[in-house]
Parts: sequence; structure tokens; C-alpha cells
Amino acid sequence: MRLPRSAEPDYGDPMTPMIDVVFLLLVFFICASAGAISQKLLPAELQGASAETAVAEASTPEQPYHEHLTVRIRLQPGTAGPEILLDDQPLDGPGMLQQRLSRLAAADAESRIVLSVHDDVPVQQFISVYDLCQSLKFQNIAFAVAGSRQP
Amino acid sequence: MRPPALGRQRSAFRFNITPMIDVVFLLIIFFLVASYFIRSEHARPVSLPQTPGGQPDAADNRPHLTVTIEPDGRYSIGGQLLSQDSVVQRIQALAQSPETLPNERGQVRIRADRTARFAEVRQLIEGCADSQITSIRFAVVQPGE
Repeated sequence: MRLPRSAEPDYGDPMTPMIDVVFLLLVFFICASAGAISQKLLPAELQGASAETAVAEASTPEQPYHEHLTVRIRLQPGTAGPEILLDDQPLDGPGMLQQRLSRLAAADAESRIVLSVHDDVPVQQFISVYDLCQSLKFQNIAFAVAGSRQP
Repeated sequence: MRPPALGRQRSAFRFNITPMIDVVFLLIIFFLVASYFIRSEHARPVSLPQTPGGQPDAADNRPHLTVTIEPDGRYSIGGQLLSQDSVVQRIQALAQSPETLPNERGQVRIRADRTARFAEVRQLIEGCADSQITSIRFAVVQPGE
């Protein structure tokens, strides 16, 4: 006796190619995003007359900034990393600078920070100190420029 | 005699979506690769400073100028090497741009290599101050990237 051929089951639209393509897209975007470097931006606002905030090397004593302190951080190239001076007092390293600035920020976050960075200091060191000042929420950070620009 | 068709009756027209997806996929790859080359052409690669701080690059309608400082101290804008005077002129042009609002004189973004000297950064800061541009951004990356 001949058996009747069964009808093919109805699977609807073929989903397999679409799933393949979606999977490929997924893999592609994951690979593409893994190679991307997420760049961030460190903000700096030159305040009022920042060109005038230029503090000359060995300048005359500055006028008091309202009632707040003015602290000068000086970075100079050293043999083993940059030399950090806080109000002309040498510090042992970035750890001590962070400790001192933390205390200052706790006392008065509106203190004025003047960053006086030597021309030969690598940008990385400058950015580290600047980011440290920003992370401690100091409101007024100024950059010193060369004494030759003083009027 | 025509034998009856087995299974369900197929309609006269069935839209096949697979080739369309293939084409869309190819288009996406094309645009991604094209945009990658355009971007890499407009920014010279440098090793940005590493620091845990920084803010994401949010959409900002303010006109901005991105200046790259290479390890040897050379400046470039849009992948093109420029002298210091040319960069200062571009900063001045940004400050006087008609797109710039009266109270906002544009923004300068500094992409400095982490091994570059601070002198070149300082000269840019001075150029911004001279042009009354008060908004500066330093491009950084998170440690380990």
C-alpha cells in the first residue's frame, strides 16, 4: 500500500538569514566600539582677565584676592619627575600636594589657585595637578604666564 | 492533468527581505568606514594625557576650534600642520566669527600629547586670553586607555 505523502509544514517566512545578518551587525558594532577611545574634556575657564592673572616670576606681593587665600603651585622639571612647590615650599610628591590641597579645600574652596608651570614640564604632569585642583572643587584656578608678557 | 500542489498554496508574489538586508548591511559598513577615514584624516593621533577627571564630550552649539599639539611641539588643526602664528590667527578668527554670540567668544579645545612640553600649551592659553576667549577644554583620556 502506498503511503500518502505528508504535506510540508508551514514555517512561515525564513528567519535564519535575518538572524544571521543581525548577528553580524551586532558583532561588527561590538568590535568597532571596542577599538574606540573615549575622549573626555577637562574644562578650564579663563576668568575675567586671565591674561592679567599672569603672575610674573618673583613678582611683587600680590593684592589679596577678596578675603580668600591665594596659593601658588609651581611645577619645575626635576631629575625624577617634576618638582612641586606650594607657595615656594618644596613638596615630596603629588601625594603631599593632594593632602595639603584637600585641607585647603575643606577650609576654603574659594581660595585662588595659581598654577605656575615651567615650560619644560610635560603636559601630563600639568594635567594631573590641574585635575587634582578641579576634583577638589576649587572655583578659581589661574594659569601664570611668562614674566615677559607683563605690561 | 495537473497534479495538485502539495502543501500550502504559495502566493504569486512573496517579498524576499534577505537581499535587502544584505544591501543595508553593506551600506552601513560603507558609511562607517568612510566616516572613520574622514575622522582620522582630520585629527592627528596623539597620546592624550591620562587623568580620572574630565567630562564627556557633550553636544555644544558653541563654535570651537580643536588644536592638536604633537610630542615635538608642532601644532595642527584639522590634520594640517601649522605654525604658531597661524594657530593664533585661527584663534583670533574664531573670536571674531559671526557665528559667535556676543557674550561667548567660542571655545578652544587643546589635544596635547602627554609628553609635549607645557610651553606650547601656555602659548595657546596666552593666545586665547589675548583674543578674549575664556573657554578652554583639555582633551584627556581615562587611565589605562
